[in-house]
Parts: sequence; structure tokens; C-alpha cells
Amino acid sequence: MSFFFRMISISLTLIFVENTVFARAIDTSTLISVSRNRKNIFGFGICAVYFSVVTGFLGFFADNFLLESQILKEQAYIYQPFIYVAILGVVYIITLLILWKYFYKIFLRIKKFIHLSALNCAILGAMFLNAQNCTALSEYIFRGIGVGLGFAFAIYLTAIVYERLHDASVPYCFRGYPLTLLYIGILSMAFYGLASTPIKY
Amino acid sequence: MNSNNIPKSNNQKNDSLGSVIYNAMVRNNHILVLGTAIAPVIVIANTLKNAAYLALTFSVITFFTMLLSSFIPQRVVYTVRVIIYIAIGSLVYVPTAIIISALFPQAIQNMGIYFPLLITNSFIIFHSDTMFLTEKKGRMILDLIFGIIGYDIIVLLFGLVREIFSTGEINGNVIALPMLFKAFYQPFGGFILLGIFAAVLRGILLLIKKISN
Amino acid sequence: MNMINTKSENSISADMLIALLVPAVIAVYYYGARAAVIIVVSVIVCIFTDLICFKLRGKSASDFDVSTIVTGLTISLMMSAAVPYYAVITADVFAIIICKHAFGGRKNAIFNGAAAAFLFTSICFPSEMLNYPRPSVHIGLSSDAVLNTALFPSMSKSVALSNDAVSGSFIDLLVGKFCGPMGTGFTILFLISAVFLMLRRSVSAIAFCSQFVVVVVGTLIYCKFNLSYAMAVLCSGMIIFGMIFLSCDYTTMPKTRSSRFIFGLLTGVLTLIFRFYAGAENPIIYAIIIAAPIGIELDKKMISFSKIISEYQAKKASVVSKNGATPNTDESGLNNEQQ
Repeated sequence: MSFFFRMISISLTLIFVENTVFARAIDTSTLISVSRNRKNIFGFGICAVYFSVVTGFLGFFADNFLLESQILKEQAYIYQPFIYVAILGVVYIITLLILWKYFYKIFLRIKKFIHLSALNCAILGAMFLNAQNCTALSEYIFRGIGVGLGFAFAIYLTAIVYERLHDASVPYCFRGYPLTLLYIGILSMAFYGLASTPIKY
Repeated sequence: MNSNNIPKSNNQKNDSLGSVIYNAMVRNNHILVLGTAIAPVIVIANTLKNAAYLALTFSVITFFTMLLSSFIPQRVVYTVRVIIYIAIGSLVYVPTAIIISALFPQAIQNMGIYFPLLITNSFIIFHSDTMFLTEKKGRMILDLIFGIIGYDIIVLLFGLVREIFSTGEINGNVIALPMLFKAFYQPFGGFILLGIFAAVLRGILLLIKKISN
Repeated sequence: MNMINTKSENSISADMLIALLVPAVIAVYYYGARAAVIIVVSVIVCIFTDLICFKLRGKSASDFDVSTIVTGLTISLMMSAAVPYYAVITADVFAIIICKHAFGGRKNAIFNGAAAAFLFTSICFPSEMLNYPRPSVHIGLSSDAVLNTALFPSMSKSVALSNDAVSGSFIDLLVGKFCGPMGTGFTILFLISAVFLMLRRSVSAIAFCSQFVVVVVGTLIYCKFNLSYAMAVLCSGMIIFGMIFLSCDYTTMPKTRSSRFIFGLLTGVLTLIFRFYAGAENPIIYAIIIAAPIGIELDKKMISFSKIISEYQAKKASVVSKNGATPNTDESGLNNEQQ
């Protein structure tokens, strides 16, 4: 039971304290473009969680492989990205093929945003952070859940005020993109208060 | 294997060099107008030095990735093609990382995970199709180079302003300031400052428009 | 969805202003001339920045409203009495330019200006902002006078660090005689003014009460009913002050009754989380900022929810009236009110 609570707390930490967007600013560009359309957020969140969990799971084995192989040990940081991108690409293509073959309706619905939810810095960045921060397989998986949900949470928080950020009363200089940045900045200032220790970048 | 057989985008114009430069660097500035690859800007570019590292690595990785990506036939579906772009990016990353770590060992350390994350920046994922790869080679390279230069200028300016405001230094040299806004050193300060930058650029463009009318 | 606006914004702000003037006077009594200067500077800078922004946005100065003065006064009361003037000015400028005018004026603002500005400045100038003189120590007006004064961390912080041990008597806690922001410790006064404002309908009773109950009950449970510790937590850290003047601000608050209730609960829970999990010094500031966008969403959700309910009731009523009974189209109180 205590194990379970520990894992939940890892996920919650990644959602609220070390949120990919609010604490690390990873993938703000994707957030800004996705938050335009509120309809897709739910599906986007599910896709993001799916990809971050699966890539986290496979990333565990990749990290272990990198640790064990003596040749790559010194220069792991050079080959890491290629291995991670390969994992991500394989997962992405296999998922697309399965969806296309067996769940064509779902495929049509998520076709527009699936590349955004899979091929972004949040998912790839989670793999790099996993390699730095944890060792056990369970941690990899729950961190994956946390990253995916945290990303979706950040998008949700931005999408719910989309009309206000693009309102006609907002001065032209700030309307849209600049105001979105200010909004995220003020919010992340508040989330920063949750972190009792400085967050590693 | 080139982009001859793709439908040309509508905005294919025979612009003068000046307007190409103006559009790529100012009107469609990648940081302040389009919001491309702003994550490393917000987190890494908090001093002039780090900003210079970021500008250097970003330019190298993005330029070569986009250049190589332009050889991928456009017949491949975009959903699949984009993974090839990123794979190319991760290949370009390998020599870049080796060279950079030999020349500036500090850069790798300062940039942390944001250095490898440059291979999935939204320059490559979002704007590859809409802005670059649908155009003719020469025009594309021109756009790409000036887009990257526009990005670099803003990164350096941003890093400079942020360093002055948050630490009271210019590249490590102390200048006397009555007060320091330490918040700008943190990522949220980066968000706020970048928002102000973007608003200022819009204000300037608006002013230019008014004056020219 | 018809919101019945019983009071104009300016009269709400005027009520707030009256309720804020009393702690301002007490702050001057406690901390001397410097407190008065800080308050005056803050209000004047707010008004000037506001007028300049109206000018820049091409609006007439007649759009100016009392809420600007309320913002200036609130910011100054949240400051330490030893704060340098530039910190106050930074906070004012941030509140007016970034939180008000960049978001398109008071109607469209998302965050409470005073709260966000205080948070920003307290991160910018932590040592200047978050160290306080003892009450009844009068500091001179110059910056040298501040250097010669002994400054201490706020009681909120020392309570959070020690998790127990409160110096000072019960009465001192209630009248604000402890190290802390100059105008936010007078708990008894704030409770009275809360009742006054709720009776005048300038503060939403639902939001305030739900928040208050959640925070008090949560604190008592966390403190294991150790009353002196619970009192110290509740009186310090501008919790009561924030509840009345920051979180119950009408512009950043949901408009329907049910969403106000949920908003109050949410802010209360967030305050507890920031107080006891993160150990934040002024937990309510963070809670207000995070709850603000969710409050906007709650409004939309509750409006659509009440529509569904009223549709369902209308359907039911039509079925009943077909069967010969009198139709009952009285809508539930979910949707049509200001309070």
C-alpha cells in the first residue's frame, strides 16, 4: 500500500509541482497551438498519457542497455537522443498502423492531433528526465502518467481562458500570443510556490 | 527526389530580397510572433552566455535538419514524414554534440536536457511543411537562414536584457543597478519577459504602420 | 442567463475602500509615518499608471474607477513596513499594467492584480519584502533608517518552521501585534468588516463562508485541535485579509451561486495545500491565482449544467401538465442571482 501511495505521489508531483509546462516550460509551442480547440483536449490528453507511458516503459530498457554497455557509457548523451527518437518513432508508427487497421473511426478522429501529442518535447523530455531521475520500472511508468496528465492539465488551464486571452477588449499589442505567455507566466509563478526544493532543469 | 511534384502553396511570390528578409526576421519572427521553440529560450537564455550557446546550437541543428529534410519526398503522408524529420534531427545532433562538447564543454552542461530537445523543436515539427518545405529550394534556404538569424538575434537580446535585469551583470561584468528583478531569472520570469517582448514588437510594428500611412 | 446586478462596481469598490481604510489607519498607528508614506505612494502610483494606460489605450480618463485605489491600498497593506519604495512601485506597476490593462481592463482580467503583483515582487525582492519590523517600532522615512532597524521573518514563517511554539498572547494574535505585513494581521477587525461587507452585499457570502469553513476546519484537523497553534496559523499569513479583499473580488470571481460555492471550497483547499504541504508563507496568494482561471470555467460549466436541469424540469412539467396537474416551472436557484 505504501508503495502505491509513493507512486501516486510521484505522479502528482509531476502534474502539479514539476509540471512540464509550468515548471520546465517544455513544449509551450504545442500548448499554444492545441489550446485553440477545446474539443480535442481530452483525446489529446489520453494520447499524451499513452505515449509517455509506453515510451517510458521502453525507455527503461534502453537506459539499462546504455548503462550496461561499456562503450557508450562515457558518451551516452550523444547517442541517447537517437535511441529515444527511434523508440518514439517505432511506438508512433505501430500505434498508427494498429489504429488504422482495427479502429479506423478513432484513427480518423485523432489523425489531426496525434503527431502533436506524440512527437513533442514533453514526451521526449520525459524520457531524458527519467534517465536522470529514476531507476525502477514502476517509477518510469508512473512518471509517464504524471507527465502526460500534467501536460494535458496545462493545456486545459490555458484553453479555458482562450476567449479572454483573445477578447476584443485586450489591447492589440497583447492580444493572443503575448498575453498567453503572460498568463502562463503568472500561473507558473504560483505553481512555483509548491516546489519546496529548487527544480532541476 | 525534390519538391517539384508538390502543389505550390498560395503564398509563392517573387518578392524582393529586402521583403524576404523583413518577413522572415521581423514580421514572422519565430520567437516573438510565431512562438517557435520558445522552451529553451525561456529556461536556458537567462544570461548572455547561455543565450549565445542556445543560438549556436539551435542554428546548427535546425539548419542542417531542415536542409536534409527537404530531400524527403512530399508524397509521404505528413503524419509519417514528421517522424523522419525528427530522426534526421537526431542524426544531425550526433556530430553537433561532439563538436560543441569539444569546443564549449560548458554549453552541454548549462543546457541540460534542452540541448537534445532541440531536435523536436516546433521549427521542425510545425513549420517544416507550412513555411519551408513547400517552397523552392533557393527561396527555402533564404527563408530558413533569415528565420534562424531572426531567432538568434532575439535570443541574444532576450538573454542580455534578462541578465541585466535579474543579475545586474553583462556577460559576468557587474554594472551598478539600484534594484534587481530576480524573478526574471526563473522560467516564469522568462514567460513574462517574453510576453512583454512580443507585445513590444507588435507595438513597434503598429507604430511603423501608422507612420508609413 | 440573466445576472441581476444589484450593485454597481463602483459602489462595491467604495465599500471595499472603507473597509480597507480602517486597517490602513491602524497600520499607521503601529508603524508610524513610513507606513503612511508607503500607502500614499502606492495609491498615487496606481492612479497615475492607470491614467497613463488609459491614455495609451486610447480611452478617456472617465473610465477610471475606484477599484484602482482599492488595488493600490491592498498592495500597500500587504507590504512590510520596512519595504523600500521601489518594491511598492514595482508591485503597483505590475498590478496595473500586466494584470489589468494587458488583460483588457478590469472586466476581462483573469487574475487579481494585487495578488499577482505581490507574488511577483516578493520573488523579485525576497529579503526586502519578507522581513518585517516589530510592531510599534517606528522607522524613519529614509533607506538608512531601515538598515538600522532590526528586521525579523514573519510569524507565518516562524510558525511554519517550528510547527508549534507561538510567542505572544491570544489577544496579540487577534489585534495583529506580531511580525508580519503591516495591514493584514488585525483578525478581529477583518471579521467585523467581513460581516459588514457581506451585509452590504459587497463580498459574496457564499464564497467567503465556504472558504472560511474549509480553512478553519482543515487547520484545526491538521493541528490536531491544538488551539494556540491553529490560531497562529489562521491569524498570520494574511489568510483572513486575502479571503475578503483578494479572493472575493467580484471581477475575478465566478458569477453564479453554485460556482461561487465550489470556488470557495477550491480556494480553501488550495490554501491548506500551500500552507501545510509546501509551507508557503502567504498561502492564500498562490491559491487565489491558481483558482482564478478555474473559477471562470466553473461559471460556464454551471450555466450549462443549470440549463440541462431547467430543460429537464420543463420537460417534466410539460409531462405533468399533460396529465392535468399544474405546471411547475420554478427554476432552481442555480442560475439567476448575483449573490
